[in-house]
Amino acid sequence: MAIWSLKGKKVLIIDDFQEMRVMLRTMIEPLAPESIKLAQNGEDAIECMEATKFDIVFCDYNLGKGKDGQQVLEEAKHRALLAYSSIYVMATAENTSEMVMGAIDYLPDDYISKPFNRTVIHARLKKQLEKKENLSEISQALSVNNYKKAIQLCDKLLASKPSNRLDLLKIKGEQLSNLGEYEKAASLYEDIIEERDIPWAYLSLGKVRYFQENYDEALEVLEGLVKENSSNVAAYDWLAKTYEAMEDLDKAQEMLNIGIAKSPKSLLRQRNLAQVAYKNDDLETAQSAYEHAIQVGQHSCYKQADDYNSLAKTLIDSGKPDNAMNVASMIAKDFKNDPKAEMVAAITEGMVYTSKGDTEAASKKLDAALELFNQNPQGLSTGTALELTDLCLASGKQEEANEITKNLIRNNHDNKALIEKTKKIYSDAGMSDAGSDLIDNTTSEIVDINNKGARLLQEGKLEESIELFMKAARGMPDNVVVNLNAAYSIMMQMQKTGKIKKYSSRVESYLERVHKLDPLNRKYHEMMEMLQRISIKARDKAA
Amino acid sequence: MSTTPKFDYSTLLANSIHEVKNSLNMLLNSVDQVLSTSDTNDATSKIFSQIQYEGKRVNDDLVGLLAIYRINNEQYNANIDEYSLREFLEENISQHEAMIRHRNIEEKLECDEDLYWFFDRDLITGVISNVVNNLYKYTKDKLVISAFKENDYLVIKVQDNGPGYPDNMLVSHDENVQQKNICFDKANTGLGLYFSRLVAELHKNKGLSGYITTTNEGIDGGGCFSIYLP
Repeated sequence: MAIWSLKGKKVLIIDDFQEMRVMLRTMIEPLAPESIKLAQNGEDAIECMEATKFDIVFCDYNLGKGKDGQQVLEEAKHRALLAYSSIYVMATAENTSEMVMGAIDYLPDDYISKPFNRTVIHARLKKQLEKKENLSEISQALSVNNYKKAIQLCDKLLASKPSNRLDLLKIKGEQLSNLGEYEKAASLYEDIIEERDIPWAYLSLGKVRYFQENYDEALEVLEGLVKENSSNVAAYDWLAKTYEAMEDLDKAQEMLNIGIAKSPKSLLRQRNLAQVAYKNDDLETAQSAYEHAIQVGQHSCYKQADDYNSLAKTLIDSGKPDNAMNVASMIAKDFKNDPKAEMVAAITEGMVYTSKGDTEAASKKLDAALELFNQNPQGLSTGTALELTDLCLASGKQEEANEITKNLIRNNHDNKALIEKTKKIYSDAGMSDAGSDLIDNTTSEIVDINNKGARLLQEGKLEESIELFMKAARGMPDNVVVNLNAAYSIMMQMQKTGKIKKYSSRVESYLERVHKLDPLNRKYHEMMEMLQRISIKARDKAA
Repeated sequence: MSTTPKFDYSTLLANSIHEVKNSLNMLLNSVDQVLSTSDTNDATSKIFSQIQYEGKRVNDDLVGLLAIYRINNEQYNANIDEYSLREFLEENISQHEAMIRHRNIEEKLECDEDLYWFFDRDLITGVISNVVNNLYKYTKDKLVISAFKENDYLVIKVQDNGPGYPDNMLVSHDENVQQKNICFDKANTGLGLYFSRLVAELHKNKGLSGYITTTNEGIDGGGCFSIYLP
């Protein structure tokens, strides 16, 4: 009877009730998929996805203890366990808004509300498969971050006025924004709004205005959105960001509070509130938000030891060092076999002992942290690296502090906010001049390397330039500019020698790093295009 | 810090709904299986059809109550997207297939292939399910669902050929505007309509709000429910 089937498709069903799993299997079996695998909780499901690339994942939102359906989706996407072409359908007991799910980043392809029958499941799967099929070329382009190509493909499909016009416009708008073409993106959204009041178009327009640093207009758009849709939690997130950028921390905090009252289940939202409240000296709110972040994030892939460190710092500042110690000791329990977390735990404990005036114990913890740091200097986030610097200075270990700072600045030499924070730590420790000298010297060291490399390039000394930048990139793998320069100099060599295979994967890995460090970096796209052009030219020459 | 999660009503509600919906899902699908393999006239299948009918009502009321609670607490973010009306209504009718067959009701869907509109799929499904389930009780043997554009609105109309709505359940557009209270005094007369009106009003566009009407201009003077979505 079915004129279409799931032939060749691998299906994963995730539900904590055995009866439901069996029922779902009986519903999907007639569509003749290649295989159906059943998982009874989120942890199981992730294991299955590690082993097999599934085409269709059917997941209940509520999975009892452990991860929920949204967290499974987030981890699968975050860790690239799911192909772009795969379909993720979430079964829910009640309404399907992001609010209930606590989602910020990833949304499933479709929601299906209980109770559902076979006909509905079949219709939904068929619809989603058609949709994916229709967008397959675009997904392909997106999977390699080729946003320009994705836009061209959208335009091609849009020309025939298809029924999924809005889906295509949405994708196109996102890619324009990713490429920094904010005016084009804004006018695309404005055209949609002209036609109809669509909440996501308002939200996206607000985001674009924010990226343009046109905060007044961002506020106007987003305020208008929440006036009509008082439950649009994402709008409150962006309102908060906008107010934060305008340095109105009270308003930023107020917006996050509204969002959280409506949707408390999101780790990222709780963390945002905590950070803003801390900046705003509202320690009580910061404490409660960090506690919630840790609680709701227990099974999330966004869980990080830094939140424990920040909570401990908040508690120390509130005069509750004993509570802070408890939080520090929770890190080891909540992050097993995780050397980075171990380092954060040692730093946190060191902070607590320092605040209690127990210099001996603090120094022991500090030594442990430093030993771990030396084994893995890139293992610290900028936030905890600053804490470690602070600790070192407080215990008279200026040399160690300088090493950490050098490493931090080398990888972030153009991050002005971070540089200011670092300088402040030195000046708070009464070493204002020493700190400034160190940071300025380190910064100019990087600038010199970049200038020297550029000069070598200009003089046609390609090999020397490549050598210089590759060495620099080894020493400071998180420095965006150095990585870009390494990629660029190698591409020059490719162009000159026509040797593509030998170099292109190396270029890609530098650029991949850049994209990971700074997803909005425009140079990245220019260089990716350049790499393509060079490759095509060389191929044409060969043929 | 406190390690035990704080008690919050919203989470309790969500978890309980999850349990109940799972049970309903199992119940309704099991009954569906029995009905799809049995003869319409046999006595047992009549009982099963009754079970299914009541099960669906429980579900509708649950969906309605929960949505009303969430909407009134500003905890419902309407998930408005563009859908094909034909696909959407076919999916809705499929939920009622077994019942329609067992009551020997002649159903008809009137809707253009290329009609697309913006709405919250879950909420409108709830509204239609409510209306159709209620209609079983009253219709003689016909059910017509139609969808079309009228001015700046999409209209979804559900008609039957029963005796029509009693006076206290007739709602005109003006009454929507005047916020006249739909009466709750008779058992189950109010919830469905109140829910439908709330859902309609959640749909807004270009300064217009959705609304519902009920008339007795259905087939042969039967009931006619319409929801207007801008």
